[in-house]
Amino acid sequence: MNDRQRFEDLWNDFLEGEQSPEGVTVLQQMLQDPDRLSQATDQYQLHRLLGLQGQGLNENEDDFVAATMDLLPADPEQFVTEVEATVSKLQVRNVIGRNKGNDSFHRLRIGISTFVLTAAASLLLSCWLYYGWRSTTPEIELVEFRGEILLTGDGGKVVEGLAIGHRFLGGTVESVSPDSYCKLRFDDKTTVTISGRTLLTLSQNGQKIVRLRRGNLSADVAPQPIDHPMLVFTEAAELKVLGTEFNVEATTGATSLVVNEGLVRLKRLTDGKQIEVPARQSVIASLEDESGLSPIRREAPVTAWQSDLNQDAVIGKWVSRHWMLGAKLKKAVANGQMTKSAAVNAYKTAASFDDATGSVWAMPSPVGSLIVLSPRRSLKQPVLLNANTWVKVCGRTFSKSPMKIGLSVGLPDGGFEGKYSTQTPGSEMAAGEDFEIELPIDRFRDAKNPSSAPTGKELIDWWCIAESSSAKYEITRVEITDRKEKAKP
Amino acid sequence: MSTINDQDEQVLQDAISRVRSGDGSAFASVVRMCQSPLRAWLATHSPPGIDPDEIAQRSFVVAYTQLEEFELGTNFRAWLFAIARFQLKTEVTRLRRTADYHTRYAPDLLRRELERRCEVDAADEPERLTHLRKCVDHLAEHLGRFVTWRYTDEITLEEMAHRSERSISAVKKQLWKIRRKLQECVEQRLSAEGEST
Repeated sequence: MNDRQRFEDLWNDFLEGEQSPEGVTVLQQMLQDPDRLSQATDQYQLHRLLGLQGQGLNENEDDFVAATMDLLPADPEQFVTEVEATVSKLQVRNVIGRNKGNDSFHRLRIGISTFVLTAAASLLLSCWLYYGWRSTTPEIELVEFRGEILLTGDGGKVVEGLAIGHRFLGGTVESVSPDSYCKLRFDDKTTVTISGRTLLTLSQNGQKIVRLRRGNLSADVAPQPIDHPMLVFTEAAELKVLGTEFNVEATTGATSLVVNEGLVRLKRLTDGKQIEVPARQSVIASLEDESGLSPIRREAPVTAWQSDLNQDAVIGKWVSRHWMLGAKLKKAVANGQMTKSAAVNAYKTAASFDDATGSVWAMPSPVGSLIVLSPRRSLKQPVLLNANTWVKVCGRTFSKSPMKIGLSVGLPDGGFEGKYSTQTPGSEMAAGEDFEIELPIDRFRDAKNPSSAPTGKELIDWWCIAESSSAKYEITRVEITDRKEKAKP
Repeated sequence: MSTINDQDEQVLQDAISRVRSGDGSAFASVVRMCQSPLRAWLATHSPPGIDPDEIAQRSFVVAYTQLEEFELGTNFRAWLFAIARFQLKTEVTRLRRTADYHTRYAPDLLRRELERRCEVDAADEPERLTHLRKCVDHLAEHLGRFVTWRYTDEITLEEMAHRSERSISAVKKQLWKIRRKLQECVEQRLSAEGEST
């Protein structure tokens, strides 16, 4: 294959979303040639234009216009002020007109009366308009929450002292810690639940529009008007929902959608590819991977899970053993404990080992030092917790900060259910030493609802949080086992 | 800059006036009249990893909130495209800060070339799109079907290979040739149009 053919091949792969990181590096070199760069950019632009045309730029014009109009900021205050001003002028004109020719004292009295009357009328009108407008404008109600929840509501105001029953028109809701969650309800009974570290913006100006910046969202959507479906935007995908129940997880560069009931239309934003995801199926839209986009049927649940830390870490830094060895060897050479060639030899020997082994290190956060793992990243089947479930956690801690270990769970075939956790006293941990904790499922409790239990629910994520945000610890393994299952011959 | 006829321009300016007088719903007409060229321009100038429609919507929202600053009677589309150019630039800068952006999404040189074209390309996408449609219509049937399969039906390369009884590699090569042919056709039409005006 000559250079030109190789270039065309690589660029085709790039346009089809099938490029490897190595391919991108080679392309980067090949594109140094200005002619090639120009040709490649022409191909890219034409490819995008054909895609746009193929997907019916004119056919989806109505959707685009409607979605854009819904994004326009509403300005009710300005509206009220304008009406107030107009009405005030009219009232002043009427009162003065009725009292023409009176003496100065009378004029003064009329002036004062006019002022009082105008002010009172304006105030009444403002109240009527404002509350009337609010009562006819659909609101969102906070129906349930736990942990730290921040709400920036109407007019960009941060809501202090958030309480259940708080109503707002739209805004940004943030669930700050892994053990926090909140449930919001729209006027048509559509509910949206966010859990863990999640940031969500929502509005409903004629159409529900939800923007999931990061984190987990479960929604139970009442039937929506056909021409105004609920729209959910994430970094990697756009979802159109007419009425259904689904879960979405948005991370940097990828969106995972699980549909429990109904049908959701997903559009991958990197290439505009669209797909309809029916009930009991899931799909992942990624910014990295533009190849296949087909739903996967939900598999039967399993009762055991062993973490694949490299893949499962949602929050936490994955460090491979190999990388750790490299760092240690570098340090040894710097300290004069080893020669450079001996270090290189040791590193090369180790390079043949399985590089998939390693650990996840906790990341500092405003709520403590944190690790979150999601089994859904490495396991196709959901993990069902039962009365015989045990949770095993292995790792190493470098401080005596107390740790909370928790589970976020969902209903089988349904949305978010709750958060359960257990506290591990810092005194049980020896700084700098490995630890291994085995916890029966009944140790995990919902402090707000002690009678509920995670058994019979599906694991959404596992998390661990040390109180001090500077607490250093690593997790080397997490396991869910079914002791009864294990005991079977 | 593309030309829209006087009647359309008048309708556009009227809609803008209505919005400025407080009729927010009139902005729907503004969006409708400008969305196609804007989305086409953004689609061709956005690097991978950016949703052109999101930038288009963001640009409309900015235009709406700053409409008082627009001078009636001047070229609204040029003003809107300037906003879109800025919005796109901001988003590209944000994305570029992603640590592994270039290995994940695109070669750096493509991004730079697109940025360069953003500065120099006129917003002539309506014509480009119209010409492209005509060029696609003029493709021979055995070539046109590849465009339909790939861009309208969005079938996989494997399926295209199966349907056309060729290898996947041959299908990719065919798509490359078709795009080049279409590019030449569009350029010819654009330059012929330029000469005639």
